[in-house]
Amino acid sequence: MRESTLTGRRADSCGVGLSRDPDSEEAGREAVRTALAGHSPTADDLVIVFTSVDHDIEALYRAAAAEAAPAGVLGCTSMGGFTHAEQVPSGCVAALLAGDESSFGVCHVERDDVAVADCARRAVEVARDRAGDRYPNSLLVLLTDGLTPDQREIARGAYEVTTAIIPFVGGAAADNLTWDDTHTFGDGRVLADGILALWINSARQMSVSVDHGWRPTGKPMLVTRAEGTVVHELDGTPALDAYLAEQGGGLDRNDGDLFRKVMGSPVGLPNARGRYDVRQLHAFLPEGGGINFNVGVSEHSILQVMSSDDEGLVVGAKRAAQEAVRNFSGEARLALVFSCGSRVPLLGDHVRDEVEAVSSALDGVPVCGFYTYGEFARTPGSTGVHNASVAVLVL
Amino acid sequence: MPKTAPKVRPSGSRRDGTPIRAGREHEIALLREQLERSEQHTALALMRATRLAQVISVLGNEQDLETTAERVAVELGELFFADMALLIVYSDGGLAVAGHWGVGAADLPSEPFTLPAVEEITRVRSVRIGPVGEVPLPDWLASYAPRHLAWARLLVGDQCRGLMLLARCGDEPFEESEATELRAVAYRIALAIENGQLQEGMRDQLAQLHRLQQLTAALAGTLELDAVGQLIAETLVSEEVVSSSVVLIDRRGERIVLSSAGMARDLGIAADGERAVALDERWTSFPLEVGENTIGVVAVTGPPPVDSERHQLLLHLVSLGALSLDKALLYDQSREQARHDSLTGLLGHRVFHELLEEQTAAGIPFSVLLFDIDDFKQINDLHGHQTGDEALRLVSQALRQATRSGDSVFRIGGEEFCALLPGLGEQDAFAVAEAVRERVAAIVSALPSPLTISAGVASFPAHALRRDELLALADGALYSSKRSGKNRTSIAGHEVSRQRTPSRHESGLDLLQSKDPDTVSHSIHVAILTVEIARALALDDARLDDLRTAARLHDIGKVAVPDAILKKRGPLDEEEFRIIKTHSKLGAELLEAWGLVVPATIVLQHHERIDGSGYPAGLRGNEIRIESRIVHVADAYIAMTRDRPYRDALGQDEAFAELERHSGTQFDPEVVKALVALERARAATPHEPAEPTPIKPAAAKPRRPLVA
Repeated sequence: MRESTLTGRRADSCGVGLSRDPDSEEAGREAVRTALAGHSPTADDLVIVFTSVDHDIEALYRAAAAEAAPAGVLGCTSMGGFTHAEQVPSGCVAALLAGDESSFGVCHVERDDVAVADCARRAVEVARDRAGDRYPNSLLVLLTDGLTPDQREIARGAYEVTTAIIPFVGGAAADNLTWDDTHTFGDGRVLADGILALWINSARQMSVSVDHGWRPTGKPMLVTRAEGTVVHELDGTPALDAYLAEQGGGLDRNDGDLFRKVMGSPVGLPNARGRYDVRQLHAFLPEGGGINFNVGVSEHSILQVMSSDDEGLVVGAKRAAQEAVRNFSGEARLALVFSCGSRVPLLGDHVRDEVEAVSSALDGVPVCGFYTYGEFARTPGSTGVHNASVAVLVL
Repeated sequence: MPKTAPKVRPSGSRRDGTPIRAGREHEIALLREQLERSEQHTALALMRATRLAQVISVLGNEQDLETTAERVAVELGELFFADMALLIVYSDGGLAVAGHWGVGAADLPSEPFTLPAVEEITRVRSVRIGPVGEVPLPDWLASYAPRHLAWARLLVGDQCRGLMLLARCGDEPFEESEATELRAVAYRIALAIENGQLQEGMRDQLAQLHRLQQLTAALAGTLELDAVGQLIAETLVSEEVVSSSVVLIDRRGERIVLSSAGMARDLGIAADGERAVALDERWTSFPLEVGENTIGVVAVTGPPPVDSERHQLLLHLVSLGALSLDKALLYDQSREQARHDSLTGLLGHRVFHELLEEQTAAGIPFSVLLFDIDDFKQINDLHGHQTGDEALRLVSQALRQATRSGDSVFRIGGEEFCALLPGLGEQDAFAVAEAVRERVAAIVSALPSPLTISAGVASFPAHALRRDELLALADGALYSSKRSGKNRTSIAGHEVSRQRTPSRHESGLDLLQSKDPDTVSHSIHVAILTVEIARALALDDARLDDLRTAARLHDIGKVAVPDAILKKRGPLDEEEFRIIKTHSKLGAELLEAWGLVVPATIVLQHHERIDGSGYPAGLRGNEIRIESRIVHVADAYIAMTRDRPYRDALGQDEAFAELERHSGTQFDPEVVKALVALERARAATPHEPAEPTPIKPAAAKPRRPLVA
């Protein structure tokens, strides 16, 4: 394993801030102010804000934008945010991306469910063009609403622009597991069905990684009928019945809290690296018993019920950070972390351990992150869409 | 042997000295590693066991070939741990990328391309894997810097449908076991491409059949000749049967361009409605045949190979076009006949009202003449309808001869006729009406009893701005002529008819009329054109009356020229020409004797030429009065554009060319320019062609109301 080459924080260029103020406008202002930490923002700078859904998002965004001006502001709602130092389940966190050695292009569009990939492609193209071509290293950060029917389509559209050369990372906005109130904001507007592309060109290298800490415990089940994001049948039987039988928790399909209860038992799809892409159950079809995911699943693929424990999840997060460090060289300024919202209830009081594990691997680099409804991280052999995982961007 | 103390294993340690606790942790770590490796192997095995099925599943989706190729490229990239995946298929003229993942569309070749090195290495072994360098990489992918490649030939039997490329940017070589899988995947993809192409071919054919049905229905419901031609020409190009097409039809002995599509205009094809020029070798012609008749041709560029499906389609479209065009031609002919009076060949009542409406709406000055044969009922009663019909035909002939090519003449009732004279005011229109009246008196003398006509003149906008009012005024003027004794012309607003005043000089004109009616008619047209030119040259209005008089009487001297010379067919000899040349001097003397001093001078000089070669005095340039120079040009132009005893009329363009050829020598260049500009402007103003269609005898129609 290569040793970390991170050399620590440069407080004058990238800072992290937060606010727990219940007033939305003040929360936006304070988070930005603390992230700026005395830095006078310029039009080249950018501030990313992740906020819990108990705020008035419009008001918070306006106040944050005013505070950061002339720098731009973008972000999304979350199941809570965190920094290297603190958990912020209710409030907002912010990070300053300084424009001294980077340029940023932002595009925020409404998603068209009939042409999701095209929407994503267009947004990324515009963001890329707006970023200009001043610096040699490029990377895409994608933020989308959390109710996107198929995040794989968004990744497919983005990949048409980034191609095999440019990595991308990001997450889907979240709420408090009500699945009805996710927003993205940036480029002058707040959207409930948005695709927000942030293209970063930098003089410095950037790295992306992803891991999860889940292990297969169930028997392999063949997807015998699937359509888009819906798996209708596993091993020739209704998918939900097959899953519940394998999950072994004695759960009733009519249990109103079913999807919270099965968060600890997502499914995994073996991939070409000998690992598993994890997928959380999203919903099920009352008629026929199909399971819906927020990512397309191919017919004839294999699903296995996965499991983990606190230690496994924390180790998974740490491995993601370590991988990002291995792939990075130079002086890191900031890490953005996108951790699945399902890990919050699963880790419970130990949720702080995950951030600490990430921070320790990042060797003191400031961390800003949020709990998502899906993670993006394009690495070789993957379409770039993940669930129940932790994606890390070091820049 | 020295006694050595036995080795004592420390309590809580293993044989190798490691502490038991540490050893357990180590073993647990080892077990964990083994478990992870085992899980990885299992995952990989599961993945490999199912990925061919996953690809087949995507291929089986009911999507078009293009969407399937895109989906498969994504799936291959994911399933085979690749950063880039390309599906490349054979198309017209080479290879084309059908599906791509991980490569920007802008980096793909926009034109068909070849990959000879790849085709070469996959010919023996259909799948080739290896690092870049050992395995060829197209130049257009070099910027992606992949490290390991897998090429697969998309084979069904011995038929190659294309190529597949997977590329990894990391240091992860493709394994031989993957090559075996890729061979199976490539076969399935090739099969899907073949099926897709077959299905697309069938879909295309069905769609084409549907479009042909629609075309047939459209042609069946279209009677307009131009629309039929356009449908045929455009369909040939839109169906990609040919590059360019032009439909030519034969009308009145000429091959006319009906319509064209594609790049026909750039290949020298004339505009629609114009006579076709000879087609060069780039064009291939297909005759439009109906039975044993050929009604035209369809000429095309880029025809498909003979015996190809597209060639069959071309022949079908030409055949369908021939039938549709034949039907449209028949309809066109019927409609044209319906627009004309069958007895006289003149335009009919309905067309008169349409054109009158158009002229009024256009706002350009014009005059309307109404004629009625005097006592026509008596002709019919006394001499029978056959004689009456003959009289009608002769009157219509007089009308055509006495009007200009741009005028329109109509038979609008039993014995009622009408003329629309664009650009003419009441005075000029009156002159035309008088010429008609005089010509009628001359040509119907062969009838058993004398025949005369009465006329009424009204001018737009001088008399009225509205169509109906204008017609009512013209009708009123005609009625005034009848009431005042018939055989005369009245102008609207002049209650007393303006019968020709028996002045001395007009008596002379009468003499000339009886001697040579063509010359009188010619003189009236010269007078009209002369005044128009003078106005265009901004001549003082006060000079126009003398000019008009001179122009009308410029040939009055011909009363003294023997008929044998005046009406001679063929060129004049020297003596005859000498006698003819006396007419300008003789005419001037006559006018002077009648007290028309200025017109006399104009007439005297109207055959002088700018270069001094004219007669009688050989004057040059500005020595010749401007009025005479104008009459000279107008006289020549009218003579050229109307049939003369010794030659046929020239076309307008030919006449312009002739004038311009002699401009500066015979003619005043400024006058020539003004005339050409006037006539071109007149030609650009829409008017109904006065040319008659073939006519059939029919009974005279009852009188129709003038106001529609």
